[in-house]
Amino acid sequence: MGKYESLGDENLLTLIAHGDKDALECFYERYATSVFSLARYMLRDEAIAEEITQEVFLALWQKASTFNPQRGSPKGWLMSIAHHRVIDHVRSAKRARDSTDRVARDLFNLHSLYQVDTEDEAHRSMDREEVVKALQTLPEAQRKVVLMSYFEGYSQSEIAQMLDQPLGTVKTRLRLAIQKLRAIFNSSMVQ
Amino acid sequence: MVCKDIEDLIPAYVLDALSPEETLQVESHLEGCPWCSALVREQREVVANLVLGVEQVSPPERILARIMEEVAPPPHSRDVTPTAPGRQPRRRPVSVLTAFAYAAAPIALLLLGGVLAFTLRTSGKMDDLKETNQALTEQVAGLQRGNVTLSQELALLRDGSNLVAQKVSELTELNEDSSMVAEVAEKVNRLTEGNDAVTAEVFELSLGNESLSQQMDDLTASGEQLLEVLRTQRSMIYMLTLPDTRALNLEAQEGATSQGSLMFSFDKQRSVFVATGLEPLPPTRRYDIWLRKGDTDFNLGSLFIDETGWGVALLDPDHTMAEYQWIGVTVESTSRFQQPTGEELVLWGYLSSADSVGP
Repeated sequence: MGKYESLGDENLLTLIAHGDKDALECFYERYATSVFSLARYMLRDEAIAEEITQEVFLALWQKASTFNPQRGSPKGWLMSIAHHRVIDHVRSAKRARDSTDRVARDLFNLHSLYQVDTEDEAHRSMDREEVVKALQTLPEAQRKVVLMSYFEGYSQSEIAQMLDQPLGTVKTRLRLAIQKLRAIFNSSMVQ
Repeated sequence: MVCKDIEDLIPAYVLDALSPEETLQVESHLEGCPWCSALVREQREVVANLVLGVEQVSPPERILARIMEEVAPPPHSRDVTPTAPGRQPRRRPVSVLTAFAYAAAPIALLLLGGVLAFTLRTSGKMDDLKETNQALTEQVAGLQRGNVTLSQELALLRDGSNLVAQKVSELTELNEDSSMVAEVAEKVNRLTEGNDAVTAEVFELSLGNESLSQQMDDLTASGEQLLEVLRTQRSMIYMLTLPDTRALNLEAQEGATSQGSLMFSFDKQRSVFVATGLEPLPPTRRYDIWLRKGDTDFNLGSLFIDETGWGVALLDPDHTMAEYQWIGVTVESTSRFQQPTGEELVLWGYLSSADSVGP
C-alpha cells in the first residue's frame, strides 16, 4: 500500500483499470469520506449512504478503463459518479422528504467543519473552511440555486418552478455561481 | 446543438441538474468537441470541491472490506497486472517447505536451510517487486506512447488550426475582393447607364446638329441669294445714275405672262436683267440667259426665280454691251451647258431697240 501513496490520482486509476486492488484501496482511502459524506448528507440515511459508497467504488473498479481525462480529473469523475448515484436515489424516493425545510436549512454547520479526518485532509487541495467561505461569498440567489441543484438534487427546471423564476434566470445564476466559485478555488490553489 | 447552446447547459450538467434528454444532448456533443469537454473538466473540478462544504464523516471500515471481496480484476488485465487476484504467484511458500524437507538432519543443514528459505523469501519479494516494477514500466511506456500519440494529434490539430486560420484569411481577402468587384460592377453599371444616356444625347445632338447644319446651309444659301440681290440692286442703282443707261423690254411668247427687262449701257460690260411671271420649273430644268455677238450666243448664267416667278440677274459679259446685238432667255436641261438648245425661247429682244432711261 505504501508504494501507492506517492502516486497521483491518474496513475492510480491506470492501475485500477489494470485490476490492481491495492490501487483501488488507496484511491478509496483518499476519497471514500467525500463520497460517503455527500451521500449521507443528501440522503440522510447512513445505510443507503454505505450502499452507495460501495456501489460507487465498484463502479469505479469496473469502469476505470473508460475514464476520459479530457472531461475531468479522477476525483471530479468519481464525485460525478457518486453525485449521480445519489441523485438517482433522491429522485427515485420521489422527494419524500420535506424539501422546503431542507432548502431553508443551513447546509454548512460551521461547528462541524473542523471535525475532519486529518488523513483524508492530506490529499485535499482545499479545506472545508475555504469551500464554505467561497459559498458564502456568492449572492444569496446564486448560492440557493447551486445548493438546490447539487445537494438537493433538483433539476434546473424544477428549481425554476419552485422559485417561480424564469428558466433562463436559473441558468444564468448557475453559470455565474460556477464562474465565481472557480475563480475563488483557483486563487486558493495558487496560494 | 452548437457550442453556445451546450456552454449554457454545462453548469447544470456538472451539477446533475439537467433532464435526461438534455444530458444526452450534452454528452453527444462532448464526444466530438474538445472545447466543451475542457469546459466540463473545469466546472466539474469546481463542483467536486462542493462536497467539502458538508460534514465530513469517514465511512465504516466494513465498506472497504465488502468492496475488496467484490472486486475481481477485469479479464483483459490479467496478463499485465501481477497484483490482480488470481495472478498472485504463490509458489514461494512451497519452495520453503521443500527446502525444509531436504534439510531435516544436521543443524548446519537446518541453518543452511533457514538461510536458503530466507533468501528465497527475499528472492520472492524481489520477484514481486520486479514484476510490479515491470508492470509500472509497461504502464509508463504505455503512457509515453499515449503522450506521443496525443502530441501527434495536437500537432495535427495545430496544423488544422493553422489551415483553418489561413482559409479564414483567404476567405476574408476573397470577400474583400468580392466587395471590390461588386463596387467595380456597380460603377460599370452606372457608367454604362451614363454612357447610354450620353449616347442618346449625342444622337439627339447629332440630329440637332444635322438640322442646324441644314438650317445653316439654308441660311448661307439665303444669305448668298440676298447678297446677289443686293449686288444686283446696287448695280441697278448705279446704272440708273449713268447718263447713257438704256432699258430694253423683252418680248415673250404669245399668251405668256412673263415679262423681261434689261438695263445696260453700251460702253459698260455690266448690266441687269429682271424677269417676272416666269413659270416655275422642275429641278431638271432651268432658265439660262444668252447674249449674241455676231453669230455666237454666249451663256451668261442661269436666272433663278422665286415662287412668284420673279428673278433678277447681274450680267457680266466679256465685252462691253455695244459688242452684243441680242439677248434671250431659254429653258434648258440642267445637264446641258454652253450651247442653247433653242427648243424653248421664253424671252428675247434686240439691244438696238432699247430706250434711253438715263437722267
